[in-house]
Amino acid sequence: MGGPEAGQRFEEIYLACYADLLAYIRRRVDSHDDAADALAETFATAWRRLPDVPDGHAARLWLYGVARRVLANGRRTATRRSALVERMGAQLAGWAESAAPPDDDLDAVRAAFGRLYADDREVLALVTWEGLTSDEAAVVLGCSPGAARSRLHRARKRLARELSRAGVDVARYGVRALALAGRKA
Amino acid sequence: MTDARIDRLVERIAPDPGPGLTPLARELLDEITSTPPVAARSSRWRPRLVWSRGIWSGGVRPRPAGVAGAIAVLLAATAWLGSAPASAALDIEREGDQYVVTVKDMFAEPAMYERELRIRGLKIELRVVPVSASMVGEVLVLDGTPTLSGVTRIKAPGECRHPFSFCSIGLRIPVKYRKQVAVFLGRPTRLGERYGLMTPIDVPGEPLHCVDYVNKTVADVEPMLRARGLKATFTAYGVKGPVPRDWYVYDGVLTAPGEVLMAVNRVPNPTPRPKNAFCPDSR
Repeated sequence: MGGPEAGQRFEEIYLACYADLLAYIRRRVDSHDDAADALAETFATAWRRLPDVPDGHAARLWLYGVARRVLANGRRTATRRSALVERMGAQLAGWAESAAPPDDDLDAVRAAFGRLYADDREVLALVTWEGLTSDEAAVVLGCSPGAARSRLHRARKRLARELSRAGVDVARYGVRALALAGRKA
Repeated sequence: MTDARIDRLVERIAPDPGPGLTPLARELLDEITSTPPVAARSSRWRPRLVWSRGIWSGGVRPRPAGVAGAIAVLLAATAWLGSAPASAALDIEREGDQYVVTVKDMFAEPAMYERELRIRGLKIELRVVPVSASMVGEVLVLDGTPTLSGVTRIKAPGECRHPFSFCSIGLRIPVKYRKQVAVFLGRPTRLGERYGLMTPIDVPGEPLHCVDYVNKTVADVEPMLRARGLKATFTAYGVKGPVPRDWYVYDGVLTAPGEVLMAVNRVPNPTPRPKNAFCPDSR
């Protein structure tokens, strides 16, 4: 495959997955410039390895896996950050400034989540933020479905413990959270 | 604490997903694909991507070139498949060996759409995204086939005026279709909601359509936006705080009802998007 056909396939994958990948990376990187850089690097990798990108729904999981490695590798390749990527970083910064501030009520949950091991955070985030099943999370994490399930189980238990240790009134909080969610719906 | 409750709490601390598919994202696509890809084996599968306008957006509205447009759903039928609940999120009918599905309740939870489709054996992932008024009813479909044999579009009656739009009002899905399909549906925003998909400010139906603003200064563009009742945020790389008013505007996107984000730079954009990309008549 090459030429227009490769371009078309890549474009289709890019358009379908871009927003999800942007969200995935933004949620894991504080610096807007680094987020733009990682996003560009992830899709550039997909372009270079287009034949390896799986079909259909699995493409998104594959891209999450690439993004995960890109982020884990820190400042990735020898490629110079392009002017366009710099503009994207600026746009992300502008977006963040104009976005609504996070809900203060959830600070204790955020703090407890932040105290988890990175692996625990990642499996929980994949399931709740990216909306993956544990089997799909296993694809992203490169482990067996069984391993992902037990990681998820452990992560939930650890978070519950952290919340309890932090004195968060979980039962009451849960009721309040549900009420808020109901009001938003 | 149950798993569901833990998950719900974590879900609620999810950081903001970001601006989605902006014009800059389109530029990045062009930049990446301007380099030659590595020679590759042939693909077994190539998804078909369809951007189309839907029936909820009112009159015939041209769509932005390529992508910047967002989203709608309708999926396909005439023989009724059984009684649907009065509050059904989807209107699903059967027409021979195909389903015709239309969305009845755009604010229904995606899980409800998916459940109704799953009952018919269709594996369709639906994402409902708040979008600007001009994008309500747009649909993006990824049907998982190498040919046009999967999900097909139903074209609206009459002439489709825009060269990039199919002006679709629905989708037809073969009854026995078992591939995974992803469908993104644009719905109106609720009060206080931000757009889940950014719309360029100059596509048809949006405030600066056919308005000459690219490479004008912030000082020039600001009153244009104010006159249209828009609250603008100007942003430039590496600039903290207010952007100099004599810098140049590159592009802009709608971020929420009445709010825009404008990208600016110290120097004019040497390669601005051709004016007729979104404004064919160059009015």
